[in-house]
Order: sequence, then structure tokens, then C-alpha cells
Amino acid sequence: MNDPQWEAQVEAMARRFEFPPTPDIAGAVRDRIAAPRRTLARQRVLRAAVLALALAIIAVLAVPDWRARALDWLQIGAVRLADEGETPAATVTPLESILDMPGRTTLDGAQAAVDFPIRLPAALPAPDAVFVQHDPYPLVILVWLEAGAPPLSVHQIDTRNVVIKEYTGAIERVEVNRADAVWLSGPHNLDILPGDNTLIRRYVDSNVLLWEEGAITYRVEGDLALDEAIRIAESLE
Amino acid sequence: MEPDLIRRAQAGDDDAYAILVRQHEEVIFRLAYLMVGDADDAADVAQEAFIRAHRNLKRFDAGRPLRPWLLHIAANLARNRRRSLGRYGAMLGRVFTLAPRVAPSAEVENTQAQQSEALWQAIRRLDRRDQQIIYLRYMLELSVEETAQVLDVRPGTVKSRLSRALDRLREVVLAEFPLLTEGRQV
Repeated sequence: MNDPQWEAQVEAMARRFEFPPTPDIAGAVRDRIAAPRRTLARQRVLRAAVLALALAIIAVLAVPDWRARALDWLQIGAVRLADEGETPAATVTPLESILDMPGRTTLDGAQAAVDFPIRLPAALPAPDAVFVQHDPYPLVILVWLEAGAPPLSVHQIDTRNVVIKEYTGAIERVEVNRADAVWLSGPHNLDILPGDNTLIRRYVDSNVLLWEEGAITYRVEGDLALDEAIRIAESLE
Repeated sequence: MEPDLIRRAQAGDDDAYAILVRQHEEVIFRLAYLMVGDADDAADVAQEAFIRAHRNLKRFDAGRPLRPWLLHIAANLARNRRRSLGRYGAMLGRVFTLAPRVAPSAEVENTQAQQSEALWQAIRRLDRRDQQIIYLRYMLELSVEETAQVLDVRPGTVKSRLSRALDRLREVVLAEFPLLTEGRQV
């Protein structure tokens, strides 16, 4: 068959291809476009409510249970959620990329340096980069690189540390392995606090899933949809 | 008219943008489906393409047709999505290069729709550039000129790339999908 005949055959078969029905994309897009405006309004209301709650808590801060509950609301294991308006009280070292983190090592080196088993997402290749920090308890960061997309990373943090602050606006309560988790969507700043009156600040240009299991706080960061992040979280072994 | 709708959407009219999305959602979804191979993922990609387009709409020249620009955005998103999920696919329980190594049986081949499905599997054996140009030109039935706009190349480049892609597709069909050509001389 010559080229025009082959082309005509391809054209004919292609024309008969049966696509699945197109879902209602316009409706979903409309909802998403409207959502940030609603979120902004909700955030203003929420901030006012938080302020009122904080004032109330100040009055009863001597009651340990109440204090614990207030902190629980703002903190997931080793990660504290903070308001973007907070001013850091330490020297800031800005990082361009997660790959600029100090403490780069190998997976074996990281495992030798920490006293908890480092968990890997099932069926993923070995991470492209591994970092370990101690202050005084360990923080392990596994990184997978993806051309044209922000790196995917999994942080595993000894919860005795409070070493990370996420300056985030959009917070959603979700579940990982049927336990409470938090989904932070959209770009935001992240501070890692090494504890020597300095902090490492990085701009997170993707989404974050946070949860706690046992004595470890887990953090998945990447350009992933929520369901994908949860699948990665639930595949850790 | 599309330019009016674009200008209204640029001025913040969400109703106008919803009309534009409705007008183009099918072709965008279909390209995404061809590229990622899963209807749910294709819907996500299509939705994200329209969101990204909306964010950048103010920089878009309202005098130009919207469809090639939307297809360009969707193709980039679908490519990234497929690459990402291809890498994490086993973990996420998805497979994107689905084409079976064995050729479909004669029974499977005996309807036109199934032939088209087999053709898609053969196309998916090709590299990304060949796939994309065949999808745009033959499966979405864009003109050479519009295909060129989507790919940001000249129409002559589209023709030469198409010719090479068809040659490679014929090799794949002969080697792995011979029943697609049964009774015909390829």
C-alpha cells in the first residue's frame, strides 16, 4: 500500500475511534474558579474566629487540657501550621530547591544514622537524593526528581522535634490509612528550624500531605492530586 | 462570538468563561484521554488545562482562536501527567503504555471499533512526538494549519513529521498488529 492509501486507512480507522463520554468539565472548572474567592472570604471569617478563640484560650491557658487542644489544632506531629504573617525570629537561609538542603547522604547512610526504619513508597525506584538532619532527633528527606515538575519528596520526622513550619492558607482535613491527616494545597513557604537560631526557608511550589504514625511525622510534597498523594502515603512500607 | 467571550472572560466574567469551556471541553478531554489513557485522569488534565488557561487569559490575544492554545496547554499537562504516573504507575496501580505485546485475535479484530482501538494501541507504541501529531491530525481531525498552531511549528513541518510518523506506525502495525491489515496490502 502506498503512502496515500496507508494515510487514508489510518484516517478511516481513527475517525471511528470511540471516545468515552466527556464529563462535565465546565461545571468543575466554574466551581474551582469560584472557590478561591469563597476561600478568601472564609479565611477572613476563620481568622476572626481564631483570634476570638485565642483570646478565650489566653484566659484559661493555665488549664493543661485546653492548652494541649489548642496546640493540637495548629500542629501535626513535628509540623506546625503557621500564619503567613508571622515574622521569623531567626536568621533566614533561603533555599532555591529542596536539593540544596544540607545533610545529603545515601539511603544506607540515612538508615544507619536514624533509629527508626525509613519507609519507602512501594514500587518506586530508589530515591534520587536523600538528606538527614539531626536536631537533636532525626529528620529524613527522600527526593525523586521529575523533569519539568517540582521534585516529589517524602519527609520522615521524629515527632519529638518540632522542626517544620508551613505558612499555608488552604488547609483540608483528610485521612491516610483511616487516620487524621492534613492536605495543604497551593504554593507556600516552608521553614525548617535546625535549632541554632537559624532557619532554612524554602518556597513550596506544590501540595503537601501531612500525617503522623507512631513516633514519626510523615510529609509528602509534590505536584500531585490529593488522591495520588494519599496513594503514595498509604503505600509506604 | 469567541473573541467577545474571551474579552468578557478577561474582564472577569465567569459566565463567559464557562461558555468557552463548554465549547472546547470535548476536544480537550479527548486529547487528554488519548495521551494519558484513562478517562478520570483525562478529566483531571482537562480541568487543570482550563484552570491554567483562565489564570493566563489576560495575556491571551483575544483575536486569536482559543482552541490551539488550549490544546497546547492540555498536551503539556497530559505529557507531564503521563510521565509522572508512568514513573509512579506501578505504585499507583495504573499502567499507561498498555499495548499488549501479543497482537489482538481475529475475533477481536472483526469490528471497526475494535480496529480503531487496536490502532490506538499501535500509535501508543510510537514516541511522544509521533503520537501527538497523529492524535491531533487524525483522531481529533484538526487541519494541518491548526495542528501547526498547537505544536507551534510551520505547516510544512507538520506534513513532514506526519509522513515520518505514519511510516513508523506502519512498521509497528506490520510487526505487532498484523491483523489490523489483514486482507489489505500495507
